[in-house]
Amino acid sequence: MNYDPSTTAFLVVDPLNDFLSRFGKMRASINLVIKDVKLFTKLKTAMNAARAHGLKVVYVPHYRYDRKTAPKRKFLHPSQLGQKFVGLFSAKGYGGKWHRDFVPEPTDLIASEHPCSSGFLGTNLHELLQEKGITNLVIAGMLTNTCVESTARTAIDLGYHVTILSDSVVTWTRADQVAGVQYAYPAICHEIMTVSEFQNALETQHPSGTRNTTAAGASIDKENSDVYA
Amino acid sequence: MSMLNRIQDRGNALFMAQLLKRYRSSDTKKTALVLLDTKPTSLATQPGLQERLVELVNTCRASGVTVIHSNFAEHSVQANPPAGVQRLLDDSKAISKDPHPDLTPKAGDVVLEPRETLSVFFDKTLEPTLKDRGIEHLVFAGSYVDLSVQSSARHSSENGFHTTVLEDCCGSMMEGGHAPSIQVTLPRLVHDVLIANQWFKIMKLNKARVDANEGVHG
Repeated sequence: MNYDPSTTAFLVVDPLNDFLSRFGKMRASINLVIKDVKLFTKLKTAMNAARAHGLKVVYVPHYRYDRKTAPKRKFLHPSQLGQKFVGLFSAKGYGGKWHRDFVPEPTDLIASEHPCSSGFLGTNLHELLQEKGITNLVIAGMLTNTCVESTARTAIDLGYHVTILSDSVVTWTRADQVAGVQYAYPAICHEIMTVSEFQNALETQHPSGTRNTTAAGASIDKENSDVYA
Repeated sequence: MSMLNRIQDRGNALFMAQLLKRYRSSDTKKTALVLLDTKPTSLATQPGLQERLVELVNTCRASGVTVIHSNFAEHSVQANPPAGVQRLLDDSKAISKDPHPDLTPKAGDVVLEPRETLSVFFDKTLEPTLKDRGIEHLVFAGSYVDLSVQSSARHSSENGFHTTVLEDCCGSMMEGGHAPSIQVTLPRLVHDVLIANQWFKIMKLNKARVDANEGVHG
């Protein structure tokens, strides 16, 4: 696969405080898999590599909960029901803000918020990618077998070439991680690779990247060895 | 840490399951069974699945549950599709024996055009059809829970339908892929994952099941 910067985008799904901050509502629930894959270092490295090689980074955020705008349909999606009960990704509070290590840069794109699980359904993501001539997607983020996988499934149906970075996705339990990475992704994605393999592919194909793509930063190291260690 | 993670996750799952039970209904007129990829070639690799689908579809027809059929097309817009899409393509192209007569469309069933996507919801005729018939509850079954069933069920619950997947009426493409889909992932994304007999009980279809399948079993 050729990760041509003119046709490839790097999608990062839901890098929000409620998942990633040690003060986030769901951080404790997903911390085991965060530690297993060393998510902070891997995801930052992958995003730096993508930016350094000219790939468009696109943020794919979850709906930020607000009682006034919360969906009122007859059958709430399980994620909407859960979000309602715990106020996950609050629109006005800390939980819905970007995690400090994954704040969008000026050249990045931000899709509209997805209401349930797929980054494409009920959002402008497809239009955003079409406007930029994007045909290939590299996907990472949260959660492996819910929002990341739903986004990948819809992407396949919309005709994109889909790569998922297996060590830059995390989820609730190790069983969920296995369900996504070992069973679902091989069936529904074109490529599954590690961050290291992704870096090598970029460097081999487009050796022009000059930015430091391995420095994870002090704050990330701190996050990886915080109170949940 | 791992044990604590599992206990916490189990607690969350039980809480969510209780919340989601209130959405259940036994109204057969508002319910449709969506049968995905039931060509003989696909069913041939799934032991016992054809028999369970026949019982399911006969029960639905006998009790007024709409039956919707969707199969994968014999071609795809994608030059190099992922393994799962390639599997559906290969199944569609294969020359096979005639399908079981009960799994072929009957009067009153809805037959969708062959699709090129994993999710059946990219068929633009589906949702208007469901709306016209007042259908709010969708029940999914078919050859590949890890392919079209899962993509369609995810899409269904996102689009506002009460969504059930029938555990023992789905096969899988990936060896060992049935349990991760059914036990781990789908309970997070749809409203109910049930075995057919549990669903018959909720829908009060046990008598219809016996009556409709007397010939099949007799």
